[in-house]
Amino acid sequence: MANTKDERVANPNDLSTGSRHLYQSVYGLLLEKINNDDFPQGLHLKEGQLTNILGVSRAPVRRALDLLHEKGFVREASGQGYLVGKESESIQMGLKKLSSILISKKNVDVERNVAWEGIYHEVKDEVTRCLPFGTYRVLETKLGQHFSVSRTVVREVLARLSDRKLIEKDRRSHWIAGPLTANDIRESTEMRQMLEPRALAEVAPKIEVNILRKMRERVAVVEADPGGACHTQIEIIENDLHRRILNSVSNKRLLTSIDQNQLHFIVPNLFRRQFGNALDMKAMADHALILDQLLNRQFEVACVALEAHLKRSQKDIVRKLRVLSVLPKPVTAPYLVNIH
Amino acid sequence: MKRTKLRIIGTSVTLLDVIRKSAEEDLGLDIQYEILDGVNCQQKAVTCPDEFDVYDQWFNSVDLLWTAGAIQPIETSRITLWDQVSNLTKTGRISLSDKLGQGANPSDVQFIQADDSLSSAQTEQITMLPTAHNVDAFVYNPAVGNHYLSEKMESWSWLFDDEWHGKIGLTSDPAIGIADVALGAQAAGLVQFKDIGNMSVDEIDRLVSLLIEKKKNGHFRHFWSTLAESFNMMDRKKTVIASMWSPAIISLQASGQKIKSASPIEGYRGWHSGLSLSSHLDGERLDAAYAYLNWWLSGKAGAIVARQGYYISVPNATRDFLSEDEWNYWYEGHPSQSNIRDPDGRTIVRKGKRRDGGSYSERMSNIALWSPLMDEHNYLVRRWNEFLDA
Repeated sequence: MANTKDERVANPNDLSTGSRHLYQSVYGLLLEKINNDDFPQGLHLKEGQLTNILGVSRAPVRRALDLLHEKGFVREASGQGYLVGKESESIQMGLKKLSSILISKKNVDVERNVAWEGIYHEVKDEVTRCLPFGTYRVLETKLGQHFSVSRTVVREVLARLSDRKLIEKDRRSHWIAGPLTANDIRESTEMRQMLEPRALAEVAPKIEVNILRKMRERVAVVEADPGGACHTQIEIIENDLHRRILNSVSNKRLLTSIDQNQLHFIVPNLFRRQFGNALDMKAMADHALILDQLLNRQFEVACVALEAHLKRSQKDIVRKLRVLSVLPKPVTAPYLVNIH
Repeated sequence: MKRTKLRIIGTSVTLLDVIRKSAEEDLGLDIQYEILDGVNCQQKAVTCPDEFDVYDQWFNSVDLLWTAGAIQPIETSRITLWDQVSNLTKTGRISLSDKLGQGANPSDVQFIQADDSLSSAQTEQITMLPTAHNVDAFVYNPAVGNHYLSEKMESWSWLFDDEWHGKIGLTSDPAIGIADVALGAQAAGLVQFKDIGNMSVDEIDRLVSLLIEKKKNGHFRHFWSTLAESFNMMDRKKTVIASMWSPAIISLQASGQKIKSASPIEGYRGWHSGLSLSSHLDGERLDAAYAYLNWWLSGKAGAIVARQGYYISVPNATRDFLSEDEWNYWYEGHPSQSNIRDPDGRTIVRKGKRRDGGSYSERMSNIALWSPLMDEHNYLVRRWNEFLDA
């Protein structure tokens, strides 16, 4: 990945923190606004406008917009810039309104993130990508050097990865990742089977119909054209049902437990990147069914369907994990060393 | 007129030049064989389905290909002799009194269900056309350790017996190699498994720790990934007991080696191979692939593989292409009335000999374990490689 100064954070008040690439932060922010429907379909996004509002240079904004375009979240406008979504007509928005959407209180919080968060997601992605392919040691010193961060930051990142059960210490106190086993998948999915339907039962009556409709539309888009959908779209759909929808659950420990059992997402994500989306259509049908039941206010049926979906997915993931045994091992970041 | 080209990937077990030439002649096709070892063949099939038309390998790899979307359903209505295909892959055994065997019974992945899952419930779509199959164990040189051999029944535990220290040959294929040593460790009472065909992480760890210990002390020293390698190890006396497959055994016998195929008291490891259609196939090339599949069941291929020691899924159609003596020797387990020859015409069995293990039904009814594809296959492969590298 390029480490140009232009894309790096120079100012702690910037959008991005630590060493995270600036374009990724801009991309993440814009994607969140699209997914949460804060941006109306057809909204005209212009490079210059975004540059002014976000207080960053043009290059990261341009790259973030290109990436959104590449992944199908925006389309090219007839003149300059891009339009949100695939079909709606162009909607112009004044600088003030656009600014109020982009610079919400939440984003200010994001700006104040501590240093470890800047590299956490990248390290987490690298580690999870390796898990099915054997045993890897995470080299703390190399990790610090790679991101030019202190040992304190490295330890903070590793502690959080450990919380998520992605790495653990061996007898010699080395941080070890993998190998991911079918048993890990089984345990993780069984936990989700216990937790998710319970959480859904509580939040289901409170979920806004508009949000559910948007989620259902996203599934319909993929079902209509599985080959045309990018893997990010599927990942958003997965996140809709298995995380976003449960956000307002009152028992936060329940939510934390759900977050700690995410191992079973790793294999489908890797599989999708290797083999495309066509093989996810049964899961998409499950998502459609659950969302339809929620829209029809059939909450109990939706919870049962969610449990059945998780149960089915367990077998499917174990089969996919076996396929990964014949794929070549991935090239890893320099701070990850394959032991076996 | 330009001949249709058919690209077939598989292993040296069934991609025989004599079969290729015969099929080309009968079908008017241009047939290209790409021979790979088991793991590389699976890797290519899973990652590059556009680069092959027909996959010729083992049933225990079918689920990998089906899950990855690399193969398409075979319509049994387009298989002329489907009704004559034996019960082995349809019900899991030839006759009801046979052992079902643990591990990946081929019938479990034979039929495609309406929801795209695989099972033995019969439908009109299949994943793989069943062809050659056999039971394997190990071979040994009876001239070595004669006193020992006279005292003990043939057993998989011999793979762990100090009598053969440093002179044991194993296949490096993870799924098959682990099955052989697991049968050995279990028979020797060194590791017990709840289900030897679907081991837990703990069981795999215990077995691999034992294997690594035995490799480090020199007990396990020789590994092969091709038939030629297994032949050479035995031929050059590096090994005196080895997991070995039929074509290499036949070649050793043809070269005059006195080796014996064991019939372990615990039962054999069974395997079944077959042909699958790449997901990309359509039109003329798909028709050509079906022609090739049907040709495999027409009898000629069955006769060729019989002379390699393999059985075929349509024994009756094959019988017409074997002499009575060949049929009686290979399938019935009777003593040969004349010299028995391999596909290249070399004498491999002298008159009066009986096939080790007996008849088709005797051998196939005694399967302890089908070559497996365990839930923990991915983990097993990583640990197996650790053993090979130890």
